[in-house]
Amino acid sequence: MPIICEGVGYKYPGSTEYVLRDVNLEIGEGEAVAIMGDNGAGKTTLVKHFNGLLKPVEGTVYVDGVDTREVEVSLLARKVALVFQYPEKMFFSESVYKEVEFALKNFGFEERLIHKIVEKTLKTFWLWEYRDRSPYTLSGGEQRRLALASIVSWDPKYIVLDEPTAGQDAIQREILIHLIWRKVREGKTIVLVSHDVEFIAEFSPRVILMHRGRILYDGEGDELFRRRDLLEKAGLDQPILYKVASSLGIGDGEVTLARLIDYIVGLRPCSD
Amino acid sequence: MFRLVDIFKYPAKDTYLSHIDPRAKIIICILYVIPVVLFSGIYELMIIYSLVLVNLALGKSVARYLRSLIYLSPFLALVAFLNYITMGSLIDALIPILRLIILIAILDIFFFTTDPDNFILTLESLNLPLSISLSFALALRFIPTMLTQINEIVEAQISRGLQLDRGNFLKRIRNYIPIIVPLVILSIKRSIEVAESLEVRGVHPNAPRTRYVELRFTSRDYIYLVINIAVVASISIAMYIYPINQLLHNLLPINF
Repeated sequence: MPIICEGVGYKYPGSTEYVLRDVNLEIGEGEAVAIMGDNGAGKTTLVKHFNGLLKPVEGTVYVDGVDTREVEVSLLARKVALVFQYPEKMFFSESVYKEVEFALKNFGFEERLIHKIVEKTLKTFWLWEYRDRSPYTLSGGEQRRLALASIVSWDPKYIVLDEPTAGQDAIQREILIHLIWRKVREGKTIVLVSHDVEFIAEFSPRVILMHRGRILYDGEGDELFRRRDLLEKAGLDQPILYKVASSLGIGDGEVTLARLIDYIVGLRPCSD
Repeated sequence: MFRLVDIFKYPAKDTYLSHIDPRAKIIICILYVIPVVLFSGIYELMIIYSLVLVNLALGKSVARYLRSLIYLSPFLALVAFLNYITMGSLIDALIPILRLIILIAILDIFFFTTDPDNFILTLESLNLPLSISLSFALALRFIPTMLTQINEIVEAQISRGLQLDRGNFLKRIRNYIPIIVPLVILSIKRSIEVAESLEVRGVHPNAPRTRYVELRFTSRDYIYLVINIAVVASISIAMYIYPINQLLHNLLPINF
């Protein structure tokens, strides 16, 4: 059973302005979805509905067929993991090991199992050697990985990542992309919130484009990235590959780096 | 979750009071505190209270003041209850509460209608050193920021399965560790950032400073002051000479 939003509207208490308006969408199991849009489009507000942190003012959100208004956040969080922007701000444990252990204890895992899971997760995220260090002594990239590890550890069905690559250098970005892809291949449902078009273009999953609390577009990323009008409306830039392809006049076909290189090489054959 | 945020935030409304010199507002605050302390009859206090509310209405802040009272109501109820136990009469228990409510309203005349930036100017114009006035103003400025931050941390930790209301009393206190530790770390980091950005912009506690905005009393400020002083003084003197509380009490007896 998927995540379903039916006519979701939301306004913050005390405010009269709706930050989400008539949002209808369905996120299926094992799907990789990107939610994109400009600042203040309502992306973060929308994903906070998925684990029940916010309850819709209008309409309904169903997670696996259950109305989020009828269950506690702690129950939903077991299924829908939400990683906020700059999650490394929320570290509080004295060691990397305990930081991962925290959620597992909260969800009532058995003591024996906890050790196994923490070890496996930290190894997957290349953090096992740092297990006794304080999370605050890690580098920025390692901290982001730890934040991701602490969420993935309890094996949630849905993983929602809010701007996972913000403030990361190219290498750490690659590592994060690799780790996220791995989860997609494992059959997890991944929701990425981002306005990093290059990052999303690499994935090229289904993209939901938001602007002023409404959904502007919901469909193939590849198709969206060709539509400059929609991207501009949501304050986004076209990915560089699509820009190059359209200025070369071959924007209608498949846009991949290999095809562009072939085309450019064909234009200017080497003289020798 | 933490709706308190709205109460501490300066709403930047364009009202009559927000254009009044903050120093004039401080004088008004002190002016109103005097009769609240001097009089102890319920009718007398109610008359002063209505004058204070008129002032708050000039700042379009009555609704916000009433909302802040809702948050304080458990505390006020506790004080009233303790008073009732020790004094035995409901009316005697309610008068300190009434005084407290009026004092809050008086403070709100200043805080709900004064831009935090002007607040620094006010403190400086009272000849306080910059290190004190600036830290005080910054502390006030960061209350809403911290409340927003607490909200963010709570949401993040709840998403990791934290249940704040689980367990016995001691366990519940321990539940707050995942919230307090990041909050303290973030606050320390932010204070360093603020200090650095102040230094970058050339703020030095002992260096001579010029000001872009200077506080000046205008005719509007004088009119506001004179009318308030005249009204409060004449009503206070009248109430002092004629025991209004006694008279009104005979007309409208309140006995508990």
